[in-house]
Amino acid sequence: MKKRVALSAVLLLAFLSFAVDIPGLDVDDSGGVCERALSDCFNDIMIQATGPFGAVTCIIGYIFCKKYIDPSIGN
Amino acid sequence: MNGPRWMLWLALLAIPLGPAPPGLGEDAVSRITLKEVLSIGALDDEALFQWTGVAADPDGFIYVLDAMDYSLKKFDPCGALVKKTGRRGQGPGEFMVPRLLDASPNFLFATDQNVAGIYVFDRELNFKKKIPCPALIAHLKALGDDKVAVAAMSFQGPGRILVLNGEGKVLSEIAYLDKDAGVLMDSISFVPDAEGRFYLAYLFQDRIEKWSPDGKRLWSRDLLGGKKTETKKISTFTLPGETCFKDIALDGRGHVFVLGGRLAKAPSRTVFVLNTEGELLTTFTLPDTSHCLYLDRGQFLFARANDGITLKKYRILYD
Repeated sequence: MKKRVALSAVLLLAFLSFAVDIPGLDVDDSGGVCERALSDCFNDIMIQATGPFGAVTCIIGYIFCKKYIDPSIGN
Repeated sequence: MNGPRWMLWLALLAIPLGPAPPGLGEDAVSRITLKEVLSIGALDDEALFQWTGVAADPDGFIYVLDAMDYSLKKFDPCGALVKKTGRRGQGPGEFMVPRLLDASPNFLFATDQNVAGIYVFDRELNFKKKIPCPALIAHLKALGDDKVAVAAMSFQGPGRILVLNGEGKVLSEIAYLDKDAGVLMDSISFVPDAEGRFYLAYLFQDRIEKWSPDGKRLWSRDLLGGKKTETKKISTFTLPGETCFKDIALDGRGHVFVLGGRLAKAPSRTVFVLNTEGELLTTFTLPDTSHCLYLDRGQFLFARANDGITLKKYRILYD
């Protein structure tokens, strides 16, 4: 079970893959991890510097998060 | 004398027009069950860590993209690891965020989430080339050794399926959704049939569609009673939050399999089975949640278990 939870957390980071850390990420939280990660992605300075392409990478991360994560760890 | 002969000929002619034997016609199925035949990966082994894409070849070998160790893996028909390739990176054959996988007779096509292109490997997992793509890729299907179809990721533009050749040249395009549909409302999974028609399942809309190769919508239907996904405001965007359909696949008997999303009765487990005209034939439920469905030519279904640590292979049993 530990492997599963740890993997889920790392997976989420990998899916969104915008930053090395997502502050406040809690896989036990049942409320909108994909939405919070997307918001963090939009606010990431590195992403903002890449302009529209960066925004598209955030969005595609959100799509895959919704497909792969939801509803495994609650979203 | 003429009378009986005439009746005999009529009877012979009528034979092919009679009802198909149960189980042979595409509409005959009324119930589907699954029998597990193979399981790869467990919580206490290192076969798979978090698989994302799967494909199988005609010889029964299974290919899997694993996001956790940035690799493409090949398993034999018994589930033993035969070969593994790839590592974290952006060079040839390397992955940062491996996602989608499909197979043609001789090649494997893989995507990396933030790369506008398709990595091509042979069946021995040797990296061959990268096919450039004009956009990031939200879905992919191989149409042959030298042809792939992709759902091109758009931000707020019209939804498009692009058919590319091996050099990345766009051979044809299907614009399946208007520009005004809303952000992400064009997100789809799709599957082509042997005649080049496309079946589409919308991620954030209760909508399944069939399109002709020349871009005409043949039919459109809902499966969730017209449910609408809730939207959420994130940053300056209003985005859909609940998924309707996660994947779509075809079996070899003319059935369309659609995996329901969050809004389905059993989220990420309910599978709707349609005929090629979009009529609902039956539903069944996967034993575990999955992000995808993969059906190979041998009437086997692949889906995930243990949140992606395990890949399950099931035989499809038709009643």
